[in-house]
Amino acid sequence: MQCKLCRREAEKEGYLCRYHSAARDELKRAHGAWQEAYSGVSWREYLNRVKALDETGQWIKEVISLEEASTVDTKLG
Amino acid sequence: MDKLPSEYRLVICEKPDAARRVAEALASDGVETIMVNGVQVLGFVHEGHNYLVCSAAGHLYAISDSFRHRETYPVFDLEWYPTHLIDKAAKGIEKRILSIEKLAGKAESFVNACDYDVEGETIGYNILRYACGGAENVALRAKFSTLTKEELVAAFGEAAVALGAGLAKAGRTRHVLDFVWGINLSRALSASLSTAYSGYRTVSMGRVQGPTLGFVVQREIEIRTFVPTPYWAVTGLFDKDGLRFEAPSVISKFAKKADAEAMRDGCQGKNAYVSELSKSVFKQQPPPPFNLGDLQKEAYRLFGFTPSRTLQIAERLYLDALISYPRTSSQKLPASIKFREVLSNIGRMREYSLPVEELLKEELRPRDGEKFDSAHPAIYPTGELPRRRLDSWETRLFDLIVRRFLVCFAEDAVRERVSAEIQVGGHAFRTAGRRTLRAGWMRYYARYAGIEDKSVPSLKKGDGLSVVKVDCLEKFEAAPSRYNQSSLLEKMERESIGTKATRAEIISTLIGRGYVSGDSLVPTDLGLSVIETMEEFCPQIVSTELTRETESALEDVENGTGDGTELIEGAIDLLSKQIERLKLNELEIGRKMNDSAIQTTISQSVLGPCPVCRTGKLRIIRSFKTKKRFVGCTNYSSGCRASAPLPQRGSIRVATRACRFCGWPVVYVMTGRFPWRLCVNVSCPSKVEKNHAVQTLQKRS
Repeated sequence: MQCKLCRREAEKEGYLCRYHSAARDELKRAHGAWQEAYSGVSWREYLNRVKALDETGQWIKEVISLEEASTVDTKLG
Repeated sequence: MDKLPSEYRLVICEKPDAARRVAEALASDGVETIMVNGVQVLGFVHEGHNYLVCSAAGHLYAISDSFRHRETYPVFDLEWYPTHLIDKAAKGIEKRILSIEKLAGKAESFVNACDYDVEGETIGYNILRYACGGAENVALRAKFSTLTKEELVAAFGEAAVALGAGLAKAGRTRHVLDFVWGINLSRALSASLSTAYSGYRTVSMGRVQGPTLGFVVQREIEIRTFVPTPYWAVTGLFDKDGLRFEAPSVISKFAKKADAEAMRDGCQGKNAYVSELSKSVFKQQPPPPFNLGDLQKEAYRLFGFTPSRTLQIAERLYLDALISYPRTSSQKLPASIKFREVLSNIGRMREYSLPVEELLKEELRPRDGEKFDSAHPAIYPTGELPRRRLDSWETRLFDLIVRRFLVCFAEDAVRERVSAEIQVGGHAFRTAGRRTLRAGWMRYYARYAGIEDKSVPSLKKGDGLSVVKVDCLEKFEAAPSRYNQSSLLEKMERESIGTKATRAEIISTLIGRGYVSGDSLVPTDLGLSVIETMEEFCPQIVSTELTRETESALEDVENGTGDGTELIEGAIDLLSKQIERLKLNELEIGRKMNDSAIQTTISQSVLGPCPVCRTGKLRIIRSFKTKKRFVGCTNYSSGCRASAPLPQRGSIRVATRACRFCGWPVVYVMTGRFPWRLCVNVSCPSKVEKNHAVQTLQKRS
């Protein structure tokens, strides 16, 4: 199966390639650090803020776009 | 000397320019030029003996497999062949070999005067072995680090047999290893790609190229999967007798917003005082003399020269006898160099006369670095004056090398560090500054050192200060930086992969192959895909450890403690297994690389956005009919007729910025030594103005 965000092959039992999958894992991991830093930040607000930052990685932004396009709010989180 | 003398010594040099230098330095009574098989040979008499000097032009012999089966792999049956039989573009090599063979037949003895390093030794060894009838073990070796008369005369006086035997063995082993590695992996990858890719694309992979590309890819993955995490910095603005200054908190980063705000709030309405004041004087030593890596990094930092360009320029300066041999790892200047004489000669150049005059008053003891190279000293100016006008790049690099040499003899700079700690309601802030008390070596290197003073207000311990405000700033961690050519070279050095002579070339190959692009090196889709494939199917091949171990084993061969044959056999054994895996998965690998190859080919041809339709992209297109290249818009089918002609010769690289006059892309065309900058728009206002000026001048004349 093809990755939902690029032409690469998706990982087994997944819908993202190895790079976007790594980006998704990193996004989830960093949410913990953000929550600690701000004493709590919602998943949605976190995504909005991370997406707006220039330093955020390209694959992270693509994963966020996919998440935003999804109707299920807690798909990644 | 109209015809060949009956008895002579044959000298082998690496390059024609070096041959001319050697002949001019040794000749007691002029140099004569003789044509042998259409190749220039220099003849002269030195200490009563006739000498003939011939030169190679790079490698006259190279490793190759049997020529008949270029598509097959793996191949391990390798031989040394004359280069012109392998590379059709290597014109003139055959004539050169025939000329040396003719001269060798009547020579009474041989002197190898190629550059004294692995490559030079390999070139000389092969010529002596194959063109001079097996003279590699009886030839004398002249060892020198500069092309000055004095050193060349001494080197020929002290020439000895088998001086560089280890180097030659290591060089030939390195060539075999690199070839066996490169040819098999490249053929395997190309064959895989051709199973799925409709176009033609060379995919190559080398022993050092793989791990180097791996560094760039790994960094890119880190950047593209980077999530900035927040932190807070607290800074106070203080007032001392009307003079305001900032001081950051002693805690540079607060991971929690609440902690940073607590500090800020805790300072509100509190008095501030200087709780500690420290002053310390320290000496700052001059930087060590240049080795090649340091020179390449410094030239990139200061002038933006790529490492390969720096090496090219340095080699020209060496061939002009202006500097010592540049392919060195050494940061040491041995006492055998006559420092006083060299400095006095440098002082004849007006811009260095004053520093030289000052330095010559003191005892000359250079400040060395730690790195050592048994073959050559650190790079230093010979003291010879340029015999021709140096171009601007050569002038800048030469000045850098001279000044770096001068500072090695200069006294330390003396600087003062001042630090004040300020307490506000139990919270500490710190301000710090540095100033130069005695410039020392910095006087001669000021334009390159980039050391600036930072002043702090005059404070005393216990001084009371008013707190103007305390700010709490939200910041985010920065993503890791991409490698540029200089930092990638540094990474290769740190990881001990490649050699001082080959690292810059490997980076150029990665760019040339379309694996990485840009000034900040970004891997292309193809670059990512190649590493992805290699890591999946043969991870050992791209591992830094294996490459490092091989480099270390090659060093052992060079020092005479290792066995080259054993090393090659080990590599072949490893490669056979890895290649087998690649072969079994040819179709799958081809399918994986196919998309990225197409994307990379398309993106490499794109020059930038189309300034006419503003939605399409201008790209290089090759006409099916005329086979000529030109610029066209990707929206041609939708009606955009933006197009422009392109030079038909030379490689084209797109500039980072569009033309400031018309917004069309700017390209660099490489046809000769210097790139030619060109706005592709034929109606660009800059060109119209220029054409108008030319026409006006023509009318006037």
